[in-house]
Amino acid sequence: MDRIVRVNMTDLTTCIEPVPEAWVPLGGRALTSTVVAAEVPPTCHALGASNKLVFAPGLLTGTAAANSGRLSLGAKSPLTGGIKESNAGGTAARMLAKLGIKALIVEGMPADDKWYSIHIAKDAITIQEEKELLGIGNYCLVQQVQARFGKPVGVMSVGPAGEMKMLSSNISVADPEAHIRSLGRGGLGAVMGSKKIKFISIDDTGTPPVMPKEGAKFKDAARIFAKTLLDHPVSGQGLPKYGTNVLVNILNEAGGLPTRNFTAGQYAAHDKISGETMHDTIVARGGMPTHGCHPGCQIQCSQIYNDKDGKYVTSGFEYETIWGLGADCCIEDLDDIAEADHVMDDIGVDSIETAVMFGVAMEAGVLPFGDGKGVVRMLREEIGMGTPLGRILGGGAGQVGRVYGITRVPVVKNQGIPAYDPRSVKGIGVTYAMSTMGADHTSGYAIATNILGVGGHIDPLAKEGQIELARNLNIATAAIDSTGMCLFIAFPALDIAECLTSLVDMINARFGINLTGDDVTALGKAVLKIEHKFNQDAGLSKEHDRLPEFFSKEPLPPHNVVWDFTGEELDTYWNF
Amino acid sequence: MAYQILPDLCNGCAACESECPSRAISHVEKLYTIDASKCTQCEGTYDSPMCAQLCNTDACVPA
Repeated sequence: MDRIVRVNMTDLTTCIEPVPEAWVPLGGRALTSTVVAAEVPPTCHALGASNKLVFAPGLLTGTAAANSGRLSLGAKSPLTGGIKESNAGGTAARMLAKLGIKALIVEGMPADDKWYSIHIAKDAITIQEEKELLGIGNYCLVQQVQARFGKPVGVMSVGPAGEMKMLSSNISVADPEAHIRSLGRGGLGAVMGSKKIKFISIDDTGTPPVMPKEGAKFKDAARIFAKTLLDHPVSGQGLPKYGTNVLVNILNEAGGLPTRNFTAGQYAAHDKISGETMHDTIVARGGMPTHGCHPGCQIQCSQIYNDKDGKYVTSGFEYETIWGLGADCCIEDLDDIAEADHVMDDIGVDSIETAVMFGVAMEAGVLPFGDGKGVVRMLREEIGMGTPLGRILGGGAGQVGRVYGITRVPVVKNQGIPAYDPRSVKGIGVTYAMSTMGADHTSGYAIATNILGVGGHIDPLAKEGQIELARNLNIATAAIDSTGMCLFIAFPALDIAECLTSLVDMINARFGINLTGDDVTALGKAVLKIEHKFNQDAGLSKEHDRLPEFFSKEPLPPHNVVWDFTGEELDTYWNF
Repeated sequence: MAYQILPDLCNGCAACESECPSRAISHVEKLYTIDASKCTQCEGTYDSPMCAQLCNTDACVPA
């Protein structure tokens, strides 16, 4: 039986509640955003006692559905000042679902300076004071926590950056190899740090998988669904072979690879950091080019990247991280970028926010463009140690821009713009401007249709059709984020009709209900409206649904295009 | 006796992998395979082998 678990950090109590009727049909992002909108005052301080952390597996998490193991986390973001949902792989989502926990809501804040850990198991939820593991990085922490319990428990933790409440801090989620996945964006590590929680551990011992109400129907649908994932060229071939980093060469070719703090759209050294080069390097060093971020992943876009001596450096080495430190910071050495990725995961900072931040810091002269060793040093010795400079850098791109008086600061709602230049890929620009999350490519991945030819083709350099494209993708994504599915199922979903119908069929068989495709679209719309209202009530008005001025003033080579949507045009995004 | 996954039937959906209590199932060339030396047929954990219960294509069978 599903239930809601509340952990109150003010009085250190726990409480198990039945699921309110209105929350029964919700999961993942739909549930986290609904709870945050209902229970967190929009004008509260994100690092104060009124904010809440809402962890929720998706509607299909815990079942045998492929790629259904994503964990959603919602809260008010200290980075954007608006609502946030961040999701990640790892083992925690499946464990929570198997334990029948529809949502874990962490609220309040301890009055004293003590730190705590939370342990969730089949028969008990406990809060314990934590002294031993404070100040240590996420890699070591996961090892120590699993050693403490003597089994591969799920772990969600903050590194030193989260403990110090830095706005770029994230929450790590242990994956099946005890490596790190991240609830990356929006500074939610700072919220966990503000509640003085170093880690949450989960033990699902004694819980069977979630069995659907209509088993035969579920299997029929799951079989069709899996076939569509395998048949689509992006989810079945490109992502498994090269990972998301397949995009470096593609975006470079399209002139949309932001380079040297967003001053050009192509990077001369793109081949040195490309997915193809990375694949060959991984294979030559005995790493794993294909690897899943969570149990039950079919797409396997992750990888394990080793150093020259064949020793593990990082996994889940993503395009956006490699783009950010590579093209945007002009670091040509993939090993330096991998080392930086490892340190970012370890100290617990978002690798997109941090990479965008370093691009701004390099323009400010804090360190030279291309200084990979300098980035690693600053991550370890400044941000990781919380020096005054580290505190500035750990505040993200917007903060560094303000401190150093830089005007070319690629952020929307104070969140760093990732990996795709909005001037030459205009659909993603609309997503960056309008997303309830701040600049976030995953909330409406227009690259699919602008660049990859998935879901049709809309000219990336033209304005026509982009607002409608971004709106539809944001609606669909809000729905997918509610199922527990990896967003990459959107590629087959946009091209193969049976993908979406089988997804809906799986949800119906799981719960014994009769949703239609239109119901799922309506869910996505409802989620966006809830989030938009929260943001408006928090003080984020339509003037915040805009890109920074420099995008309209500075033509981007090689196409020499500027961002040319008016505010009035952008505001039509919300006409639904 | 261990279980095996028939490659002609496996569609790589990963359903079996996520619940194998002995972590005997791994991903090889887009499909899944069972390491017979690790497979316990779920003895002591489930009433019957969970991979076979979850498999969408009836590919998990006794070796």
